[in-house]
Amino acid sequence: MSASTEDVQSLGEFLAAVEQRAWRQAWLALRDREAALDVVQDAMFKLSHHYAAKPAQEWPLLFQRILQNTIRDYQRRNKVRSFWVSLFSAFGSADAPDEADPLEYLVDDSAFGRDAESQVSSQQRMALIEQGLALLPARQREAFLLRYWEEMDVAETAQVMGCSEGSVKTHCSRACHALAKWLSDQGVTL
Amino acid sequence: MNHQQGGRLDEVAQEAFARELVGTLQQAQAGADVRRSLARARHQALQPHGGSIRQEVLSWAQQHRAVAMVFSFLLLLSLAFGVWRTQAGVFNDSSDPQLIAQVVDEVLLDSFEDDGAL
Repeated sequence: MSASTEDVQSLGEFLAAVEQRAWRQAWLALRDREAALDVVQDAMFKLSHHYAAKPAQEWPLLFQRILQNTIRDYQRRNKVRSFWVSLFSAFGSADAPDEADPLEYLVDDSAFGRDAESQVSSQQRMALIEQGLALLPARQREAFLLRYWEEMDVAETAQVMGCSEGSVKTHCSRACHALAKWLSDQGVTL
Repeated sequence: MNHQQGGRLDEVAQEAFARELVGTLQQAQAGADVRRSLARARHQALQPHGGSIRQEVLSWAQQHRAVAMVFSFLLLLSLAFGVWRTQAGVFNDSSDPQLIAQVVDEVLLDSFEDDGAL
């Protein structure tokens, strides 16, 4: 199945529209800048080479599905690698999750009008939310991000995750409760 | 936050809480270097064949890890054998046509005759 020039052009526009959100989503799951870039590039490549000729309205779900699978593959490989590294290395600290880099991304221009104190507290809140997301079990985080970050409905989320709608609701509910408790423990109010 | 943070969240409160969290996260955007890397990745992904051979080989090797390992091992083995053969000067006579003819006559043809194939 080969894609026409128009297909490639509109695929390019689609990817340009979703790439930053996808990277952010991968970063939230992996907490590693380069790994998130690799994962997004891989997902883009797979979509472009295998599904470019599919109808454009199918791309968002396909891309999400590919992205989630690629993130999961990376996590699985990383787990195996960490096992061997920690087995053979006395200095192996690969199990520790990467710390968030506050310079990883910039606060949006719309925040520049605010005073410095509120910008700092906004960044701290953001870092705590990201930490909370990183602490969630993978499936809960996946459901939460697809449902609220990607703004998918329950049925679409279930399709991407390959589970029932009931499972999605359960994962999302548990994720919200865990995040609420985490933020409350950290003294954060939204 | 006013909707029972830390306690039980009903469905409506849960939705509002999640939207608020995501709203906070969306205040940030990727840095310039990340945006550049993403744009580069997109261009590469959209190339019809640019860089795809390497990617194809890598993804094939990833999907068929065991076969790829066997191939790599055989390749290494044959390389090592080639190097050893060159350095040690072993089997230099193998390129001698007379010797090859003699081996064919004495070993191969004789064995065929024994089997009644000829």
